[in-house]
Amino acid sequence: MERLSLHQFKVLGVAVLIGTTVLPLPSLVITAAGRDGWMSVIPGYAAAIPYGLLLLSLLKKFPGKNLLEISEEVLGKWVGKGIGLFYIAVMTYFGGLVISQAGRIYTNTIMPLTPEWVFHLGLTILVLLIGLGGIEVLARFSEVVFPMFLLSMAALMLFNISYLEDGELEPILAQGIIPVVKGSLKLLPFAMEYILFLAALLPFLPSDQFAQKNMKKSILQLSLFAGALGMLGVIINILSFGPGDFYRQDYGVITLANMVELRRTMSGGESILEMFGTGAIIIKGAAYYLAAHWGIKTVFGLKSKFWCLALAGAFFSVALMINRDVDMLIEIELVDKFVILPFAGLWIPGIWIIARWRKRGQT
Amino acid sequence: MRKCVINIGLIISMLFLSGCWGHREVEEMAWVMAVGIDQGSTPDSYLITYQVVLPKSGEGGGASSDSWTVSVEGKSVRDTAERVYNMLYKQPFLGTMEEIIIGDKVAKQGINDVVDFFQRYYRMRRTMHIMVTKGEAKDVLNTEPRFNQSASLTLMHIFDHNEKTSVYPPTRLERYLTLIHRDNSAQLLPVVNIIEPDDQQIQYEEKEKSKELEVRGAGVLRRDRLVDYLSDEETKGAMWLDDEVNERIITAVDEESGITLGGTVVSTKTDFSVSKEEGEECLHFNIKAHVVLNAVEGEWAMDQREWQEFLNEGEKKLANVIEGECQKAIQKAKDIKVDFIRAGRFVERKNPKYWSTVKDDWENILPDFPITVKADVTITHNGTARNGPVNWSE
Repeated sequence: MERLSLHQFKVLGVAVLIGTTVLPLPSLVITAAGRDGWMSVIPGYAAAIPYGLLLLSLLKKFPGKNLLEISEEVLGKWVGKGIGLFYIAVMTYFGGLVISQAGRIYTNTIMPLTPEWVFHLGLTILVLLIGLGGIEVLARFSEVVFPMFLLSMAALMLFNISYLEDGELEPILAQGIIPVVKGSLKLLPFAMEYILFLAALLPFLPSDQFAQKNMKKSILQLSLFAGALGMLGVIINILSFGPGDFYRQDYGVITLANMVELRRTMSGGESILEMFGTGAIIIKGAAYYLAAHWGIKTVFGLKSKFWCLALAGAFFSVALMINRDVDMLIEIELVDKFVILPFAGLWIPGIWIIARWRKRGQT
Repeated sequence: MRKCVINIGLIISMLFLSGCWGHREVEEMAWVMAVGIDQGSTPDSYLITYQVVLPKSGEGGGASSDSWTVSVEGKSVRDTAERVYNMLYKQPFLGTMEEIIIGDKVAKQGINDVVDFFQRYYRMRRTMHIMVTKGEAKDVLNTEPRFNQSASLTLMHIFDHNEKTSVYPPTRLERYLTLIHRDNSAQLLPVVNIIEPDDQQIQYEEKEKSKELEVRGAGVLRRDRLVDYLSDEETKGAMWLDDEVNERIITAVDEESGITLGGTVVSTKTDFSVSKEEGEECLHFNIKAHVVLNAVEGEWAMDQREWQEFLNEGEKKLANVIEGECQKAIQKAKDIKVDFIRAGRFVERKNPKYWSTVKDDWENILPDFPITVKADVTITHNGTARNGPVNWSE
């Protein structure tokens, strides 16, 4: 049985939490809280903490099982399989959207003439290869690639210092705390995206005694670290664009990278950022691929390579279905808000409450 | 069999790994360095001037470039770009653009429509400079400065060393787009002027190519419309208030002794505060500047004590010059009721509650809003010699 180390668990967690969400994150919080949007980020990502703790609590009661298996045990076979089926559909559809997003970022910025399907196909193949390798391959990939993504982000912020507007964060809390809370609520789906992945990852969590002791702490650390990274990104965006200009941006980070001029050359820093950003997107895409793959294994018991290829085909098809940028952004927002958030928000506490209630009944 | 298929696959894949599909050599491209935007012959058209630099191999193996300027009339910038594509034997590349020059007439009508293309098109970079000219942008780009460079390259180099003088706001597109979204947004764009011999106290020999370009002063924008121009001193004052001065040459004259002090500001910081005085909100600017003394002109000779006293007085004189420039900028903002000194934004930062009550009527409140400026100059170095080249015994 494959197992993650504690370090791999943390890096993978941060990568899935912040990986692609760092792109739309600033515009979401700025829309809600304006200049104070940066304050919304850490509380928003911290929503992953209670849900993560609930999952750990369930893992303790049902060792070695993922949440789909636990659901079948707690809610009965057919209800559990129904939830599993829905889970597979959500992970597949959202994974496809993540691939689509990556391709669209390329065609929107540095390679507009290349057909989108080329990016979608390339990314799907990479996701498939990682998926075939399993969770350890994904974890190792994250350990190598994600720090590079963070370094490229840090370099991007450093090189943009000369464009920062003094005092854009002031006045602080001029509109009160309510907009900040609203901003945090907008980020809840991001935390739930990770939690849904974690629900299927449970059997692969580190099992040694030291890791067991530190799992709760690790979830706390990775959520807060992802939140802090996101907050830094939002602060840089606000200082660079101001809330008004930033409100108009779909991907402010890319615009920011474009302003990093490689002296008297044609390309901007966005090509470098996108190179490492692709790595982050592959991590997230592969995470959803594996989650859907484990779901298929759990619900249908299908393990052959044919189903792996079929799943990759489904990812590719979803990515191809979206034709316009605005459609893709709205689709991601809708799935986040009306599918992932309510699904994870109800499913995990629901199972936890029922499992606890049944145990009490038994005792 | 399996090995054979893999080997054939690998050999075939080599064909696709050259990495040179759709490549374009640098020599095949025409780099668009600047675009000028003027009013066209009809109210809904623009005259767009493109300045293109064509790289070529120069004498002695070095690289050099020719420039090519063309004006095309059309409904939009994109519209005219198409015509330029069909005119040039090389492929125009817009990603190298460094300047957008906007003619007076277009600037007065509003520039957001023309700016949209530059902030949206994927090849453009928001770091390009945006400026206005009192005449036509076409004339600016058709100027051939005596150094035999194109106008666009000349302007690019002028902006490169702007921080050595800090006499105009080097507004980039990204800053324009940031400031346009503020409450009561007003901002400054640098003004590019065409200089001719004996023009504006500048003299040089008149030859075939006898024009020069100078960036000086600023145009005031209310939202996206040009409403006025600032004088040199008003622009300098606005630069102090906005804390945009890096280095600045500064001169003060002591009218009593007739001594002229000339120095370079090497570091400066403008702070601001908002306080309530006699029941009214008041904005205070506090400027601290460090100056290196470069020239002390006049008939004088002093010992150490007198020199120390003289420098103390000199610091005050230099501070007066800075305060005077700032006061001129403030007065201009009050006179034209356009807050290009961003007083409203400073008030908002320090007292958002008060700002929310005045922001809708700010332009009418600004003329009577109390604003004070205090400059504090320290002469950190005065050179190796104390006295000037005068005969001590005399």
